Amino acid sequence: MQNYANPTHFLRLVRALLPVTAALTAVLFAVGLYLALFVAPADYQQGETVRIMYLHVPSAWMAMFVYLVMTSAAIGTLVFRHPLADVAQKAAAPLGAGFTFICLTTGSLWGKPEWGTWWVWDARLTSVLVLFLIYLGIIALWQVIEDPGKAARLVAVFTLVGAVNVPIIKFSVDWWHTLHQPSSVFRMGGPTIAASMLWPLLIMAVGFTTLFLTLHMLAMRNEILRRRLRRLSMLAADGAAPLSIVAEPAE
Amino acid sequence: MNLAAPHIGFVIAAYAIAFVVIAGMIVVTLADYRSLKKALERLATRARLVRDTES
Repeated sequence: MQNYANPTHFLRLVRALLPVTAALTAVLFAVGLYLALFVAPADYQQGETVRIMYLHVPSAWMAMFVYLVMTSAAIGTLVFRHPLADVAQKAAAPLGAGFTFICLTTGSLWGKPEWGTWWVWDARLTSVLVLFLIYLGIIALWQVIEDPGKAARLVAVFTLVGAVNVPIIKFSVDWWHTLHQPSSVFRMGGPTIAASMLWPLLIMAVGFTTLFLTLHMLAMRNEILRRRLRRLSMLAADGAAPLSIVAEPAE
Repeated sequence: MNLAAPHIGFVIAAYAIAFVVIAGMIVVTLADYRSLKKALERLATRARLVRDTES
């Protein structure tokens, strides 16, 4: 593991893994979307609108999963000073914001026909909106602090404070009476969804996870190159850029 | 999927938004990689020119 703290080793690993995760994502999405749109039955109460679930639920899981990845990376930055931890943090934030945005908008589009409203300020919806705002805050922090090392430490502290929101999102439907339905997959006593709907949902969830892994590796590679470019540009500005470093392959 | 079902527009809109956001994340990430690689190549070319001029 420590071996991959070296960015060059990590880039080599990314180059080997990327085709696998990208192909897996494409297959999982193709199968998942086929099952979700053409095989899974319509709900006896909700009708066809239940098909929004196959996007909404995986994106909600990813919104929280990405934040947990960032929290682990924040610990890596603050405790272990792992060179790739802050790269992982920075690369994950826009992806987490993207998944949270999908979760919020698909939830709103599901809520209108089912609840009769686009939005309510209940605990689940509000805590997910707070998560989205935390993601935007983290992205903004990375943008306003020029020194990546300083930014990483500040963002790590902010991320750890924001991690309090994740269990609030998960248990909000149990702790408070909300319009949002309680958990129906990860719950004591097993899932309450029929297998014909559960399987497409799980396949889509795995597809979203491999999509995140693929994009996260790509974004981490970009961040490593950005830092290399920044370092070399500063050296070149000083008139001291050694050609051996500048000419180092991009990946 | 029954395209004549009530509220089907909400389903289509949800899938369209998810597609746009995911495609956007992929395109932005790949475009960023291309521009970074080009910038690094430009820097390497400049460094080579400096070396050739000096030697």
